Parts: sequence; C-alpha cells; structure tokens
Amino acid sequence: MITIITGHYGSGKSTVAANLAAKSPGSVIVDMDTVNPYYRTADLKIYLDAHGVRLVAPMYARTNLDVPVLDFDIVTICDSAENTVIDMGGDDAGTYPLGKYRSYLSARDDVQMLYTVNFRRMLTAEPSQAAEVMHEIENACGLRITGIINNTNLGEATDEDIIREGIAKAEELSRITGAGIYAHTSPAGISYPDTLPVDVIMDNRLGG
Amino acid sequence: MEERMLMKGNEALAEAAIRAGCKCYFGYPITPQTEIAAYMSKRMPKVGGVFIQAESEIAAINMVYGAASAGVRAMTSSSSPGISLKSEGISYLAGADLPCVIVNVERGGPGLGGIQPSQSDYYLATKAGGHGDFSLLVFAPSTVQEMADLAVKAFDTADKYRMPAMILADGLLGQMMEPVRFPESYAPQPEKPWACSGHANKREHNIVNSLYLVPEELEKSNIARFERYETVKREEALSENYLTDDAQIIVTAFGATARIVRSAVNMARAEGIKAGLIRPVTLWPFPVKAYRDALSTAKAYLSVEMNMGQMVNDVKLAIDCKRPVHFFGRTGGMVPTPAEVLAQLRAINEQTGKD
Repeated sequence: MITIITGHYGSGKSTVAANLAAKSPGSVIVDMDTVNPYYRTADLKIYLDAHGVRLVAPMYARTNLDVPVLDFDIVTICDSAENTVIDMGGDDAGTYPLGKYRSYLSARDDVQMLYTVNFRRMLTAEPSQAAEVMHEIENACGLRITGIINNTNLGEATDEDIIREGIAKAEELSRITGAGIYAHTSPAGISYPDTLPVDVIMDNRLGG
Repeated sequence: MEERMLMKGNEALAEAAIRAGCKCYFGYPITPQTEIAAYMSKRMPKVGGVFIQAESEIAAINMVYGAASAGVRAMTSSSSPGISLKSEGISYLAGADLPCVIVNVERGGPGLGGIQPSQSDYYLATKAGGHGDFSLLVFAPSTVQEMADLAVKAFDTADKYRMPAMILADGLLGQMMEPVRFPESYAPQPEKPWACSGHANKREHNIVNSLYLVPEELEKSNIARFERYETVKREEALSENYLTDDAQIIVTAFGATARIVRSAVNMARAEGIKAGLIRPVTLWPFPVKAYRDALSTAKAYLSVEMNMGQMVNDVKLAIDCKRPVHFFGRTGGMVPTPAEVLAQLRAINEQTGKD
C-alpha cells in the first residue's frame, strides 16, 4: 500500500503522514519535501522511531545545505515495503517531484493520494479555494486525489466549534471535487466523534 | 470580528502588509523567508498590487526606492546574506528620506552561514545598515501575531517620519505557526506632498535624491535628519516588561528568544529567584528608559541572544554601566533552551547574593 500525502503549505502534511505511518508499525515514511527545509518529516524522527516507522529522508535534510536533492529511489522503497507513506512538499511546487513516478504509481492498484486541508489557513479558508489548490496539485504530478484529510485546526487554540466548522467545509469540498473524505482529524486533548486523533506536533523550540 | 487563522510568521507579515496598503513587493528567494515572496506572488495580483521576483536582492531594494519615491507603500524581504546585499540601497533610501519596510528573517552567519534561526544581524539593523549617518526604525516581533501587528506599525511609523523601517525577525518566527487575527480597520495613510507622483502642471516638480552638490546642503540635511531622530527616540521606543517590579535580576531578550527567557523567568521564580524580563520591541530606538527604571531593584542584568552578544553594549549604555551586564547566547542556528537560561540565572543569583 502506498499513501501519498499532499496539500497546501502548513496544512499539516507531515504530522498527518507521521500519524498514519505510526498506525502501521513496520511501515516506511518518505520525506519528499524539496521546497521548505523547516518543519519537515525528518524533524519527527524521535516520534517515528518510537512507533517503529523507518524514516527515509534526503541526505541534506536537517543540515544547513538547502538544496532540493532526493538521493533515493521511490520505486525501490515502495517495492520492498509493505506499507509506504510518502510526504510531499507544499502546494503544486512541492508535488512536482512526484510526476517522475506517475507511470509507476498509475500501474499499481494500491495507491491512495490524499489531500490534507486546514480551513483555518488563509489561502484555503473556503472550499472553493481549497479545490483550486487541489487541482493545481493534481496538475503538477498528473495523478488524481483519491481522498481528503480534513485537518482543520488552530494549533493549541483548536476547539470543537473549529472542528465542526472544518467538517462542514470538507464535505462541501468533497461535493465540488468528487474526492471522498478519507478522515477528519482532531488534535490530542480533544475527543471528537468519528475523527482521527493526531497525537504528534511540530516542536517550535520555544519551551512552552 | 474576523476569525483567527493559523499562519506562519512569514505569511502573517505578508498578509498584514497587504492590509496596511502595501501595493508593491519586490523580493528574491532565500530560506527562511521565502514564504513572504510566495505569499505575495499569490495575493498581490488579486488585490491590485505588484509582485516582482527581482533578478537579485540589490535590484529588489532599488525597486523599493522607485516605488517609495512615488509615494507608494513598498516592501522587500530577505534573510541575512540578502540584507547585506541590500545595504547600499537601504542607505540611499535613508539618504532620500523614503519610507518603506524591509524585512529580515535572520539566519545564521557570517557568510553563507546556515539556514537555521539567528539574531546575529542586530548590529546590521541598529548600527550599520549601510554607509553614512543614518538610522533605521527597527521592530522585533516575538509572536506570529506581532509579525502581523508590527508590519502595520512599521509602515505607519515609516511614513510618519519618512524613514525606512526594518522588521528584524528570525527563522523561528518566520516558520512557526500560530493563530492570528487581523484588525478590521486601519489608520488612513498620510498625505505625501513630497512624492514624485506627477505634478500635472499644478505644482513645482518634486525631487527625491540623496546626492547633494554642495557640502553645506548635505551637512544641513544630515543635521535635520538627526533632529528628527531625537523626536523618534522620545516618541517611538517600545518595550514589554514581565515580572520586573521587584526583579533583582533583569533578563533581556528580543524576538523569539524573549519567549524562551519568559519560560526561564517562570522557572526561576518558582525557585524563589527574583528574575524579570525586559523585551525591547523597538531595537532602534532602544527603549532606554525601561532598563533605567529597573535599576531601582536590579542588582544585575543578563542579555540572552542568538548571537555573540550584540545587544549587550546597548544595555550597558542604557544603565550607564551602573550594574554588571552578563551575557548568554547561542549562535549558528542553535536555539537557547529555558533550562540553559535558568542555569545562568542560578549562577548570577548566587553571585549577587554574596555581594
């Protein structure tokens, strides 16, 4: 099974990807972000190690060298792992590298391409805007989004109203794009019915 | 009231600039500020503004000079090495008395350095943003909300005094995400009768320039500018105090580091150490009075920075060297931890207890 996580910058792709990978111990997570060197999958190594997830990241990830280099082959990784989660960079810009593997991914019947969305982000605040970004991502890689992960949150200020509002907007996004809802998320500390709890957050290094 | 949105510091700053009436943004990509350019490229065309990815940082700052000359609110952004490149243009802007906003989302240096957060451009921002006698207004946000709020204030203050303003942020603030709320209304922009916006044969033509043909005139302009700076020092210094009323140790830090120090002050207070925090919000003008007022209880000062101690001298001058000013810093993209700062506070507390 291959799960590809795409979405707008800051929509929560890496935390959602890490969370999904952690639910299947023994899985592999691939850090494919070639756009932004800050707050990436590789920063979650301690969490991933603790959950038995193998991290594959570019050799320059978490160094001072800011170059878009992927020094690994997705095909080899996916062929040798039972379950692979691929975490892409943001927007269409971050999705372009996936285009190289379009024919490989299209030929397999166990690939899901998910679109992470947070309706409390300025440029995807409305379903119509989120749909626009989603189509830009599809055009960048030539693959169709198969599911929506609604990750609407306001960081530590998330409450049930915000989750509820996100669910309504995600359903509207699903209606206008035809992509199904894969999951609605809820942050640790808030239990909301029928949501996927996300228990990992990026550390801002400010000590609370 | 507008809803709160979850934003990166870079995005919040860009959105706030647009709402403050910024019509021209000129930039060039560099980590960790690239989101400002990326955001502007998406938003500016939708609000009737201009986004240009210039061919270089030098080109971008000179485009700001052009737009500001016409009286338009203009902005550029970069990170440390890119700001070095802009320095010549910044001096020209100051010499021509042009308001604008320059954003520096600092990274580790010197040289190409690294991409992780730093505060090592304090001197560059407050002392030497280019050649010649001049100062910049320098604002140091500490939260994503302040990245937005101070962007607006920077434009307003720059226009008020006809000075370039700098937002001195760092990679942490640029990249981290926090909830932000934007105000519903903004102060009207002042008239700019000096702007080169077309005289339409109804007035004398305006000249925006930093070249003076006779030295007497150049000296006169420098003296007039420094008289204006005295007003700025009196009126515009901003700082935030935290638990300083009875503080025996005053810790001072700006930007993201102030939040780490705040955590350390809380930990110190829990141990009975009387620590307090002064956070300068404007680095120029430096909020001298806040430090001086704290002399009544303070036995020692400690400056915590992500550099090798660039703010220490300003603190010493503010208190006329009447107390020891200690320093703790990390550099090169390393971020101090609250525990490290607490260790410093314990050591200073032990020392002052003996005095």
